[in-house]
Amino acid sequence: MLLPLLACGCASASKIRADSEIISAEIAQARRSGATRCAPRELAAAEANLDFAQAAVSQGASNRAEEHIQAADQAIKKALELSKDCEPKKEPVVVKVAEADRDGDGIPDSVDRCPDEPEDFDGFQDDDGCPEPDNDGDGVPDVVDRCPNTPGPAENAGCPIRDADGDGVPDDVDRCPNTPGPASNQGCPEEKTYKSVVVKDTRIEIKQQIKFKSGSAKIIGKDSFAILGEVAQALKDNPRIKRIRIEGHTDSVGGDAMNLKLSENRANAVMSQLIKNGIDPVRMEAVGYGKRKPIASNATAKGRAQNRRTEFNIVAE
Amino acid sequence: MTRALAVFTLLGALAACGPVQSTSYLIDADVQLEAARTAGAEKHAPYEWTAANLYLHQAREEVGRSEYEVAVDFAQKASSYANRARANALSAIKAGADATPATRP
Repeated sequence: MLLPLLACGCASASKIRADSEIISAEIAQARRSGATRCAPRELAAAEANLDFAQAAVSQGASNRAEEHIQAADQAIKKALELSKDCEPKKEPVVVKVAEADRDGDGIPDSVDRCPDEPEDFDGFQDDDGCPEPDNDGDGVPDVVDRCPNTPGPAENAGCPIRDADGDGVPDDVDRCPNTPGPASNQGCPEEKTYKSVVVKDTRIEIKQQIKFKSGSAKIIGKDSFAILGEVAQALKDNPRIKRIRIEGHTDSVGGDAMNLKLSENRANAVMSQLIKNGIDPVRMEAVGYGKRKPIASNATAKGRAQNRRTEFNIVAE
Repeated sequence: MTRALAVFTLLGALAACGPVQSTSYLIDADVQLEAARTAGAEKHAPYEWTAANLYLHQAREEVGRSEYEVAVDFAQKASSYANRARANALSAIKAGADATPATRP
């Protein structure tokens, strides 16, 4: 009668010890899974009940031990369940292998076109790994080139010489830096030549005088009209001439008033002809000076002929 | 007669030692647990808080079974867990964290 009971007690104690070991292992696993964070109550219950079970075993109370084992088992199962996704995810470790860079410019030798010369990182072709001592290739080293990325002569510190009028002739050799002109004329516009007219800085000079009917403002002679035709053409060719003053002059023969009136009428007649030739009246003014501004002596016929004249003076450019 | 009385008294004193001692540990554990509760251990140190409560409860049961030695052991563990629960709760509150990792006593 007593033997079966003792045998049963031994078997029960063995089972409890085996279960305890399993639960201990599960507790350890739960801790590794982060149960202290995700299932702290369940973990504590499992550990405590396991402890209670062991105490009960040492007291010979198998039934109580069994109850605590069951409680510990339930608790640790729940803890494991709650800790499934609790373990902090480990970031994959990326091992970077440093690439060779002999010149130490930060560009690996595998893509560095100049692996032994460090890139100068001056904002010009900095990806190729090669230094560019003269970015613009103008022969002026970048260290002294005030315009390292724009070609220019050394005389101008490596900067391009300006060409204000954009005629392709640099200002330093352009005699007319603000007026376009071909290089063949040193950057100045080529002036047209006329048969009877010369455009000068302050006036349009006519080689022959315009002829008028004696004592009248009527222009006569084909040559006179041809000259005025060329004056009109010169004005069209030179838009820089904004305004001219057509001056009528006489010799000293005759009264002052008569000469003054005659010179005014002749100047007006010339202006009228130029208007007919297509010149804007705004670009002209007509003034009669009479005999007040002689350029030669009125004592001789030749001098008086010189004084009878029409002038085209430039008054605005 | 006198000798017999002395032996009887000594045995009686020894017999009363277990309950008195275990009761003292239980009271101590109770006090520690109350302090932990006040510190917010239930929320901020749930592992230690749960363990402390379970051990205290079991200690009382062991006293009921007159297993004083085991009761004292569990009461001490309850005190230890309660102490840690309180400390962890205070740290967690100070750090602004919701919980701190649990530690065994």
